[in-house]
Amino acid sequence: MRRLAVLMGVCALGVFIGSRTGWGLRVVTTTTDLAALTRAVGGEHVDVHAIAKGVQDPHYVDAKPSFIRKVNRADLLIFNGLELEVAWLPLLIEGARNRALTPGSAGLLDASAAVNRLEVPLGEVDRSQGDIHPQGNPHYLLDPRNGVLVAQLIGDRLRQLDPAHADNYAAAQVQFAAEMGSRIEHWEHRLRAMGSISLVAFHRTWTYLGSWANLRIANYIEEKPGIPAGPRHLAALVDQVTAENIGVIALAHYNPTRSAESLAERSGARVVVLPAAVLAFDDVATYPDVFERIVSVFEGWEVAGSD
Amino acid sequence: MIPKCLAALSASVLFVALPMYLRAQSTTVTGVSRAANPAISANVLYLAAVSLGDSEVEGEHAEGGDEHGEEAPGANVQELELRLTSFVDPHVKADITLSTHGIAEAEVEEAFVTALGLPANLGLKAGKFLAAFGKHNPLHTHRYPFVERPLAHEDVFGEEGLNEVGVELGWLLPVEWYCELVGGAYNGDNPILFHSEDEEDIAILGRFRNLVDLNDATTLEFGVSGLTGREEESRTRSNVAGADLTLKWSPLETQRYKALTIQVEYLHGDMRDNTRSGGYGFGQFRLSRRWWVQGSYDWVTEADHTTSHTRALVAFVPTEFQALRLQYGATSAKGADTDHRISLQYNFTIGSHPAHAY
Repeated sequence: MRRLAVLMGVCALGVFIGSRTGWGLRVVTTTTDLAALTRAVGGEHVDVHAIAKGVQDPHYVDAKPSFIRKVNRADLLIFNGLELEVAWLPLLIEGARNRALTPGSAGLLDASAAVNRLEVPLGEVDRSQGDIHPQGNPHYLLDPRNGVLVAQLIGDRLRQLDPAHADNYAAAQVQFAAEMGSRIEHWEHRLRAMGSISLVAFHRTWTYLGSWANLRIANYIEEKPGIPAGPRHLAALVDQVTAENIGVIALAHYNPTRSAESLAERSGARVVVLPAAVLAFDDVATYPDVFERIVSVFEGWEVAGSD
Repeated sequence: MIPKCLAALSASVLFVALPMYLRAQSTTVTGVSRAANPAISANVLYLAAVSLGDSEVEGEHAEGGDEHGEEAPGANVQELELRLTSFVDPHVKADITLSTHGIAEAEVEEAFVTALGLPANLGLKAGKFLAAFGKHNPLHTHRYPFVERPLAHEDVFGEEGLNEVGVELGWLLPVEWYCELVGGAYNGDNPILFHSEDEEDIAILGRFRNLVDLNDATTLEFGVSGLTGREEESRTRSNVAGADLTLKWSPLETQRYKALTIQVEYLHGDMRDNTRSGGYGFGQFRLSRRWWVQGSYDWVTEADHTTSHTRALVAFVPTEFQALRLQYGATSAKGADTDHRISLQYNFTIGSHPAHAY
């Protein structure tokens, strides 16, 4: 019994020391995109940690108990929402036993609240449609304008939770919006120079990107969201790509390449791997880097296509 | 029990259909709202098994007091599980699992509440649930790595597993790795371990669980568990101790396509007049998105009599909502012919999206 008391005393001391050593608000985000946006508006006043690494497909992340440790210590947990993380986040939150993160509390922030959702299914939704997201397509951060909206939402929540630095967050919000505004204008200018681009995608990853960048997404390699292509679907895709003269098959960095390569070989289209998240590649380190890379890749294949 | 299960099913049908009819009317007037209905999911397991040769081992072992949960040869519904989950209010979440064994009987497999927002990293679970002993005991049937439970679990905890009415308090220790201490107290009513009419006789469980990240792709988990409870009739105490080790590997870039799990668990039970001990070791390897291959060895020893079980399994998992698994198992014991058995198991899940426990 005495040993137990000593053990508990040591642990209590650990909690005390642990709570003293952290600087700023501890923010955990589910994705690297949300972490980048949080850093952009939080600056030095927040300590940000992303659960999914940039290279990972955020639909499928193992709910490792080590993440429970991170969530346990968070003052704020920011998630993408629209059921992107439905397979793993609930277990992390429940396991974390963090009083700041009980359902409905200010410590939980659903970033999707900031944006206009696309592909919200009309009518009945069921799994005959594949892994459909009943609340809409969750890849909204691939429209840079949504990144600005989400950063504003995050900044507002930081101001609420950490009023001592409210002015810093407000200034960073304004600065980020201005910086993104001019970058977006520049990207749009470059995109307009290219005209409309037709492509086949792997998954419904580029819906928001497409609506911003004027992409025509002709079809998907997945037969239905989350359902791999069968040979018949691939054969139909080959016909479509050939008939419509589609030059590009656009994969997200975490998509498997085999079916896309087979389609490319049979149709003559090219496979292009785009970053779908911050830190998808080592040199895509910030949120604007994602779009800089995507627009550059588009320009690259425009040049290649005209050869 | 069947009428209860039917009642639950028909109630859920009513809950869907009736509000549609009444939608035009205000729920303030009708008092019929489905806005706060629990999330419902159902899982069904079908099992077809063929025994190649005599099942002497099974018979032999049956003399020891129980069978090894293997379904009769032929095609059967192994289990139907209906799960309801909802928040009771802002403080408590409730989970109810009704399950059937075959199609003959239904039972309340789990019915428990989890307290939300307790201070000091505490978690509290109360009701009837699978106790937090080791790695295999807390699993529902459709989450078993192989078609049946390991022999040692079957013989030490009984056919239903350690599934008691009680409370469990878990404490997440404030250290750098995942470290959890669980204490449980149950109204001991296990057919093998303990049974007592005396309300002061409670069974006590302790579990200590650690998980460390070796790197981004690999984790190592180590746990020890202990359980003690009193058997009124024989005036003895049953004690069970267990240890488990799990290594998991899954590269982040291809988490859906490649994975490896290696797990070993050992159990030692002192109960009534005998001692039973045993354990299992298995490996699961994900070859590709849809294919898994697995192998396991498990054994149980009771009074110098050892029964062992070797299994190999191939799983085809088209989506996370269904799986088809083909298993070969060989059960052998000293002085008996080896029983060879081929099992084909199919399972599907419908309804609310289940999160995937690590």
